[in-house]
Amino acid sequence: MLYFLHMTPTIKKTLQPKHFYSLVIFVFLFSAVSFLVNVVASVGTPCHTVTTPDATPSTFGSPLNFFSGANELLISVNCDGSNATHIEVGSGAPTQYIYMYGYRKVNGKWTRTTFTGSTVTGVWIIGKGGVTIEGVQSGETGQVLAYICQNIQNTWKCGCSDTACLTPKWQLQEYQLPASSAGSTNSNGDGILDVHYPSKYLGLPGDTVTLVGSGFEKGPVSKILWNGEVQETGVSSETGTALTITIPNLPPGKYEVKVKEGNVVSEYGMGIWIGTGDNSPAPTITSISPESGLQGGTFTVHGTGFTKENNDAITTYGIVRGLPSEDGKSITFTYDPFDEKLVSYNENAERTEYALPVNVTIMNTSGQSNMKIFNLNI
Amino acid sequence: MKKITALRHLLITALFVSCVVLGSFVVPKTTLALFLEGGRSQEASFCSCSVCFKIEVGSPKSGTFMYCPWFTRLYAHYNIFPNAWQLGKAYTYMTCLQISYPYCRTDGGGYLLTMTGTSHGGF
Repeated sequence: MLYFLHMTPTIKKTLQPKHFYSLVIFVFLFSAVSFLVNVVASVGTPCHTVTTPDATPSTFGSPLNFFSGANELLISVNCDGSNATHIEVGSGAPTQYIYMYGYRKVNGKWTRTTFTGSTVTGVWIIGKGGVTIEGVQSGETGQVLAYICQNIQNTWKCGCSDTACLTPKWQLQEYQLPASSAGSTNSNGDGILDVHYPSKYLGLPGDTVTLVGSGFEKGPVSKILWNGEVQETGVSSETGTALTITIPNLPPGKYEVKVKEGNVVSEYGMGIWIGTGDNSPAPTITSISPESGLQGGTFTVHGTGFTKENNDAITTYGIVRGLPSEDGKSITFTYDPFDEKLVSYNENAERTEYALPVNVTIMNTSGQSNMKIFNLNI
Repeated sequence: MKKITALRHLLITALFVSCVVLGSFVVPKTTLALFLEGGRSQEASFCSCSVCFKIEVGSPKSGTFMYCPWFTRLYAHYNIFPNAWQLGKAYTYMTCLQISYPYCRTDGGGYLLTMTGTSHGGF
């Protein structure tokens, strides 16, 4: 027994100043490197969007912890560059019990999600749980519901939306994946036939126009409809996202253009104008009167190059279609594009007046005008 | 003496570099993320206390975005309403505030568009 009392002799060494400085430098550099490595190795970039107590709709509980004093997130979402979403629930405290089933809403549809964790009792995960969703589209938005109970001073607080926690609710977190840095190569993951916009809005018979869209067949099977009638057949797309068509020999005017493949017709039509070919100058806007007015009021666009009929006013809040101009110099219309009367307030719920700018251009068979602005007083 | 001075300079430099590296990670990453908006405008609603419009944009670069006339730079063809095609950029998240007298309440939100261009807007 005595031999245990023999201490290993220690060699005392005086710490030299140069050793001290080297040690300090090493510690700081090591800390910096390990922090960097930790960040790189950690699961992606936070892409959740609810981070404050007031950002949660009243029908749901909050994803924040109101009882720790730090308001840390109990539901967080991290997105990495490989289109995977990592949902974490709980902040690790042993007093947190997470219901192992949650829900995820993507593109309007709720699906049940199962969380996993290292410590499970029945249907409850203790401390922290999570799930990884693969194959998420860049730019996708979604919502996550989870239900977390916390034992606070021997009282269970579940699904809280505030510190009172009177009514348990599913707790909501929302997320949005950042856009891919490689650019927009994922034009349409579901292959739906859709026409987005044309390369130009006005042309003459025989001109070519490129339709940008998605779901185009790569074989010569596309038919092009102008106001519902087939005007061109056997059109093919090399990429599936662009289709070059030829403007048919139809009378000048505005036409609704759609693409048909088999029995499927693109849902949205786009307006393409066939011009007169008489070299009429494009319309121009010189002024709008009044410069400010009320929602539902009458406004007059002054300028030149307006056609007797079928001028479209393209505005910030929609298109006013088929407007006449008797003199070719003025177009008058009533402007009320909203479903409700707009009223503006400041953050303190005090009524304020705001001049809402409305951008306007005029489009007809001669072309598209310059842009001018008038205001709606709301 | 010269060695001590050199070491002191190295220490100060190392401290500075470490502070810069560690400090950059204090900034919440979501405020540095770039969001691209690119899709058909599907729904627009007015946020009365924010004086902005909350726009739902469809795929491929879908999401909920905030168009604020006092902030967002609007490019041709200037139509943010359905069914115009949108292409733009957004950086920070903004809450949509709606009047619920006598308060303004939160009604979701979206990424605040810094700029957006649009198509004409359908037929």
